[in-house]
Amino acid sequence: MRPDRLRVIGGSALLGLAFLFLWQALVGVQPAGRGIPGPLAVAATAVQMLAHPFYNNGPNDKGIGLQLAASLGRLGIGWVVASVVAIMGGVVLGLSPTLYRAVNPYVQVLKPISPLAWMPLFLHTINDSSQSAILVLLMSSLWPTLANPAFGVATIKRDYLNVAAILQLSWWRRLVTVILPAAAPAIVAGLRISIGSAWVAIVAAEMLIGGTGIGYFVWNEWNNLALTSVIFAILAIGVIGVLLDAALGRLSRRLAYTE
Amino acid sequence: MSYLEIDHVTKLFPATEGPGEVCVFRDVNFKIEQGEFLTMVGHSGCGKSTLLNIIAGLEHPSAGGVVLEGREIRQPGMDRMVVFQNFSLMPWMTVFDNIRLAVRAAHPAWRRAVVDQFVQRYVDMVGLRGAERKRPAALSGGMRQRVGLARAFSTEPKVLLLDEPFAQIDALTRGVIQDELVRMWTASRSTVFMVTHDVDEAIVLSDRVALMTSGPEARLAGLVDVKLPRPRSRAELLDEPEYLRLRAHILRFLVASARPPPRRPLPGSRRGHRKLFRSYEGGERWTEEQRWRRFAVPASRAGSPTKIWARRSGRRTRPISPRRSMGSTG
Repeated sequence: MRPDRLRVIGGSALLGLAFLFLWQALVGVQPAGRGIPGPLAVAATAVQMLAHPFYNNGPNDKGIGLQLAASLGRLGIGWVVASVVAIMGGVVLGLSPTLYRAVNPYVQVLKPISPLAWMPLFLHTINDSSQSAILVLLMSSLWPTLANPAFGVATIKRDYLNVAAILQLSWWRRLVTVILPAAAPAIVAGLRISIGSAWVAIVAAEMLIGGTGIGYFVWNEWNNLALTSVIFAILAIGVIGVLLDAALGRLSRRLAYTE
Repeated sequence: MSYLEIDHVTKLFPATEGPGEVCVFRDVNFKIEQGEFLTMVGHSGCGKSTLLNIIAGLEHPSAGGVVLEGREIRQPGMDRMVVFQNFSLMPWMTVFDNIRLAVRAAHPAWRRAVVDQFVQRYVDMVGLRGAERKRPAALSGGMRQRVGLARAFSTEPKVLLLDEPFAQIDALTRGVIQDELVRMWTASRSTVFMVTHDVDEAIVLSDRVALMTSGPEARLAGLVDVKLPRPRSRAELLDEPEYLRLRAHILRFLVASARPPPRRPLPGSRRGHRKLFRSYEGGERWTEEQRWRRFAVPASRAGSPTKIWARRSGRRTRPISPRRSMGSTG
């Protein structure tokens, strides 16, 4: 291991420890009744929860593993569907500058809308809270993904397309062997952004719909005044987010190319 | 009737600013025989790469046409393969897959094993055995162009179009790869049209050399026969009087035909000047088309043909009525 890397890891550990000590120290001086539990209490809860992550004692008492699995399941469906739609749409937009310019104003208006704002409409039309949450996720990851494939396809070097033209590749082979691989780094960058925003949106969406999921778990534990569980759930959300991003980071390294 | 006829080809580009067209070259007319190696020499900007793209079918002539075996060329085809100056290999594919893409395109019905065997033959032919699984970024310029040559030859094209193929290769490697090119061309007996501004390269490789005057409005100045026996060795040629005579002849022509590009301030003078300045400083990269458009003369003054089909490279062709192209000058 290189020495600068050691220093970084050491620094990180030191900062983390300092934060935990400060936190624990501040727990003692909090006003009674409004205090936040310290790291030791959270750690005790964490051990307890991680010992039985998948227990199921009825609708309001499930293990954190089950809750996370429910959230990831929703994320999987919503994000994958959104990604497929957005990549196809983005490639089409990237191939046609005119269409891109025509569609762009609408995308720009739709992009800044919080995906949660769509929730009432979804609830009203499909009458199912769980499917509505999936649609919210879909909305949250559709727009960030749409722009990137379009950009990636629109900026493919003319040379590659010339080679494809000279070799008279069919449109399908041109898509699979030239256009998609050339745009792959840009596409994966878009997927990486969208899975992050979907994971952000899911917590809020599940707080609204209730039932299962990590967002619902946070709200439920707040209603139980179990703040140690809330804090642990917050940490779990962060860790899962990092893992999702790392997985796509690996994918992007595999698909990257140097010219 | 000749094998490949360049029949009175003229190329105009629409101007960058304002109306009108720029004429890159006008009325270029010559024929290439089957199995011949013809090289076009000229200053940069005489439109020789544009002409090569027209033969490839990637661009369209503004007037005239190119005829291969009695049929007019209108689009790219497997009978003509291009070797590009910047190699144009797919960077996400290995050496093997780059060549394989071409072989599969040439022989869609072949089974996988047959294709792979065929690809391997061309990999071996250019001495890249052992580097098949590498990506182009891991190779030197010379090795990359070997892949480019293997890719082009592997489709067994009737016509091979070489667009300054050795310009980005260091001088020592260049000779080796040129010899490989001659070897592969001799074995395949395909017809070659090459574009270069390296006079020695042109003489060593070619049967005939076509000379272009400087642009804008470049013209074909003449065709020079290279009557040197093959196989030619660089070392022996250096003492060959005929080689020296040809070399002097072509160089003298190029020096005489060199003229600086016109530097007229563009409409909206100050902005135009700045743009011009920037481009000469090399601060901005211009495509050939953009460079040309800057020398625009309004259509009314340029005396351009009243009926032209203005075509832009890279776009689907679209006729522009003479009224529209002339009308906006006032």
